[in-house]
Amino acid sequence: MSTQVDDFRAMFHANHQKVVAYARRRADDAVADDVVAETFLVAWRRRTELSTMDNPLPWLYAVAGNQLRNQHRSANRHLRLVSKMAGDVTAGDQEPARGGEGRPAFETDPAIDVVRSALATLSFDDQEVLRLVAWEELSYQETADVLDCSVDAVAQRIRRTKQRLARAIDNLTDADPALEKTDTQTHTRGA
Amino acid sequence: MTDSNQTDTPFDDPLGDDQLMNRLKAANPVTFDAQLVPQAAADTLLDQITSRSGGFAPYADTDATRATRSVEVSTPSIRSIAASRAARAGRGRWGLLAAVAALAILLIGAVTVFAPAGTQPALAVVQSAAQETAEARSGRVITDFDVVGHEDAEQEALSGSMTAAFADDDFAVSVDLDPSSTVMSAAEAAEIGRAETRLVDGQLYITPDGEQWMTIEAPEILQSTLARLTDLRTILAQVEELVEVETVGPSDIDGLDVTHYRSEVDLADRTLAESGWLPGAQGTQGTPVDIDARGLVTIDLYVDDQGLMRRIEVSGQAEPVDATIEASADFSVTTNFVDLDSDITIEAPDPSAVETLDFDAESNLSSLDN
Repeated sequence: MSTQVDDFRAMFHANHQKVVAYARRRADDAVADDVVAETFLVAWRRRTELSTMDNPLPWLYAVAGNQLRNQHRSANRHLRLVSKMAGDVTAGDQEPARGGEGRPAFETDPAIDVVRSALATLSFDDQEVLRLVAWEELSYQETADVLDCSVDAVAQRIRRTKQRLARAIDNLTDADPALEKTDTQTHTRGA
Repeated sequence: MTDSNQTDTPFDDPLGDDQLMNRLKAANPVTFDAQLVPQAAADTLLDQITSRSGGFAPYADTDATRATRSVEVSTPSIRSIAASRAARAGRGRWGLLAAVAALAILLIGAVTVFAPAGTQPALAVVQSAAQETAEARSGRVITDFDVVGHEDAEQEALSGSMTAAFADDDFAVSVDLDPSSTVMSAAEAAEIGRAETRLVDGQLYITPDGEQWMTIEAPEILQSTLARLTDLRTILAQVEELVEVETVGPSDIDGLDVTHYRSEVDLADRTLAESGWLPGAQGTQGTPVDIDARGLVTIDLYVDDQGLMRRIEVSGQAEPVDATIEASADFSVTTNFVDLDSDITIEAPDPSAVETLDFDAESNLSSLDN
């Protein structure tokens, strides 16, 4: 038993900050911290199963991602139900907060803003596959593990999604010339 | 267990468009930093997790309410969620009807007869009461609903209560669903019960759990839609359309003396759509609902000594006119009007607990439980 606990503690220390970063990229800090805590509580309850994984990080991301989805989904479900009861259908299907959304603006670089804005126009699934590769820096195999699909499917989705992202960026820059395509600069917090 | 292997990160993607990926990487709002959470706080969390199976505070949060909060989490499975969604998408037409039948909950008077209003005393009393009640600037509308739909051997149920408090243009709405409701899982129903929506000074706030709030810049169309939940004029307008009302006699509602009136409406001479029962309704697949129905609807109205409408009960059974469809819906909706013109204030949540959420009102609302 003590070995299993030790293994869990080692796994926690190896992955905790990465899961924090993952959650904070997608939600504000308070929500993210709850998601992280709940994710590792799930991991603790499943520690026996987890101990057989060589790399538990994709699994942790999957759990955290679903926690985020659940949190927003419940609010959306309530809003939709209330809207339906009001006899009309206007409420949207909100996805979890996307990268950069829901947090105070701390970026001023229009080149970054336009990428985030373009990213936000994509579906949640499209955003997630790009974020996992670009922000979490996962391999295709790890991304496939998180999304529970094949490596080929990940490659295909990234190919298609990048095309959509490029078009979205072009549309935004065409619509607002002030958002000129400039060289990217990194203005991130936590660095 | 090992740490993540980052050696095969594939930024040399099939398109060879490294510039786009680099731009995306630069847009990362949180770069990895080992000190995102102080080590001591992380250790505290770890100790809490490993020392107990539930009830802990993230990062030694000093808020007592959070410290004692019991955390109930499931182990999400992407595959199982996808399967669940697929199963829901395959629900039959009757699941659809049962769900949309709930739309009638607040359209209590929509079972109208398109004929000139009558002149009988009872009718005049209830119509006067409706007009008088509609003038209230604050109050609470509490609606208990119980809808059961049958189609062939399948059954869908939706049961629960909605409380809507309003003060001028502000309102707060919460819904409690009975666990017997089948249009969503018990867990989802429980989530609904913890959620609340408020509109304060034109700003819409939503909470999934009563603790963390999200706010959106609600477009006017959504505001007006939600406002119908507490708009007494809308709720009571259809009483004006009733033709025949009889006096049942004295009664009481929780000790309040009232007079009980009753009206019956036959659905046979019009369709649901024509009667206004399901305006704007969409099914679970986003398809318009246009189901001809027949049935007798009983409307019980209760007016107090002050001439105010205190309760309206709508109950009955509807069946498709098309006899080839073996289906029916039993429904009972009771709307109580309480605390009228009392001192009610709808307050915005604590700003520190509010997250701003972008909202696309044009996006598709195709599923109640998606």
